[in-house]
Amino acid sequence: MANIENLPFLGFGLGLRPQHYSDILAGGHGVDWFEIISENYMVAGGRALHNLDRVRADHPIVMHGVSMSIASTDPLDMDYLGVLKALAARIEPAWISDHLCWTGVHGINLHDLLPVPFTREALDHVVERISRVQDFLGRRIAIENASSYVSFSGSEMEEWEFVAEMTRRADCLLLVDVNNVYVASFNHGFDPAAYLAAMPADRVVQMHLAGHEHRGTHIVDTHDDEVSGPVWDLYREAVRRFGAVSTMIERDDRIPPLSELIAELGIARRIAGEVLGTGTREAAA
Amino acid sequence: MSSALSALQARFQDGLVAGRDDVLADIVDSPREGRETLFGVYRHAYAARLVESLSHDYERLGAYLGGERFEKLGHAYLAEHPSVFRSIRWFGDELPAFLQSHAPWSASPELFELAAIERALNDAFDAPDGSPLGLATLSEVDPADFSRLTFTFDPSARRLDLMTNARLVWLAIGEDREPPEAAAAEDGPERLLVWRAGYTSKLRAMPADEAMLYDEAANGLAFGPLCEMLATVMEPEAAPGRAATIVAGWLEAGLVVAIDVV
Repeated sequence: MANIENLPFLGFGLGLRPQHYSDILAGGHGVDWFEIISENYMVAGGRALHNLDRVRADHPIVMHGVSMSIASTDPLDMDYLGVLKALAARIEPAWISDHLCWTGVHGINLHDLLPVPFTREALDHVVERISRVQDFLGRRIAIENASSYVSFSGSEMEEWEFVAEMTRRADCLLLVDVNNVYVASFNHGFDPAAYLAAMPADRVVQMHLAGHEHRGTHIVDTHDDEVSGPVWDLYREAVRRFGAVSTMIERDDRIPPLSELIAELGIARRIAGEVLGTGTREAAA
Repeated sequence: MSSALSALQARFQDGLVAGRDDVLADIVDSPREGRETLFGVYRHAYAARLVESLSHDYERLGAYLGGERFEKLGHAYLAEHPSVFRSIRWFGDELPAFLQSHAPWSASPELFELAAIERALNDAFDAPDGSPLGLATLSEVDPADFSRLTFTFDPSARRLDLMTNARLVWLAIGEDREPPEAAAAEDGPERLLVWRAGYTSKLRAMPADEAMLYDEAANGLAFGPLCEMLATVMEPEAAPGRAATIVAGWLEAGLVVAIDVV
């Protein structure tokens, strides 16, 4: 299914991590595209930006932020958004994303993706802010579902209802993190397939896959391990729902050699190929 | 914004930053786990992530202090300096000043200076890109203008004056050797220059006369007055030659991005 903006199917990608710069720049790795953590490149100069320019010369890039704090009740940080916009002008990403979360209030940044109560008030607030950010950046942004460990007693709707309504009203795009859906479904006791079924498929431009740590009574989204079996199963379901959507593996800790991540990415290619037929496995030129 | 949402976010943040439990009343137990444990995931992650970020930015200070002492320092710093930055990259900026002003660390000045070295290297690493001039630039200058030349240094360049042997400690840890006992710098303060050459941060000790010239040149003093200043601390007739050698060294090291005639 084509997304609403006809954004390209980029194929199968990885998070761009400094440990892999030299292997990536050597070429021949077969990774179709890369995602950057936007904040890591919001610097004045130096090696990181230089390497990013070099990777960008040969690959599509998408920008993924962790500090937009879209659900915070602090004012939007226009300085941050200005730097983000300038980076986008330099990199020309396929799209820009951030998370459905807040990262702090009263001027403090806790550097974590904190959970949102699924209330009508929070929905109105988030919708209004996404709209303002999109107006400022001059483009739709993709919002990612975050992992969460707590539910709020004040929530008035389910997470998937909140996300679907947010997407419709803010006219934004979606980055579906399949691992996060699974983690939240286990932690809060809901059916992850029902979550996926509630997502507006024409808004989904990207999917994330990642590893987590199972602690028996709850799961923590650690990004430090291989994608788990249940998450691969859910990915298969997501491909059935959303079709050929740009997919990548996120690894932020205990980062293995690039070759290991490429091998793991092969599992995503295989699953997507099995669901969609081999003709859709390769990225659009 | 005053609302149920802002009040909830304030309680949640207080739960992480100040250790308050008020927010637990807003949270429900999950099917398998109590709310204290679930909220504890956020509590743990908050401190762990920020202290880990410090350990990356101040790797050699961490090695010098040892894991447990560094962890204690990190938590004390976090308690006083919660991040106000969009990127975690800047969170540790005030650590050198914190070490200098807080016991027990302030009693060991090599700690603050070791941190200052690491911070200067980090700052040089992602400072704005300069376009260094080569030595040949000097040959294009009319000799009649020499005394009126001013120099603009690469935006990555910064100077430190160390009162201890922190540079030797820094060096030893980087080479995986036992660091020397902390001590006062020999022969007065040690003058350091930190800059980025290409994409690599570098550091070197400067002779006192070069450091004096560098500091004054960075303030905009022209070559002629620099020579006069140098003549007050050495044989006057040798001063212009020494100054020229120093300036040529700056150009060769890629430290100079502009030469102007004033």
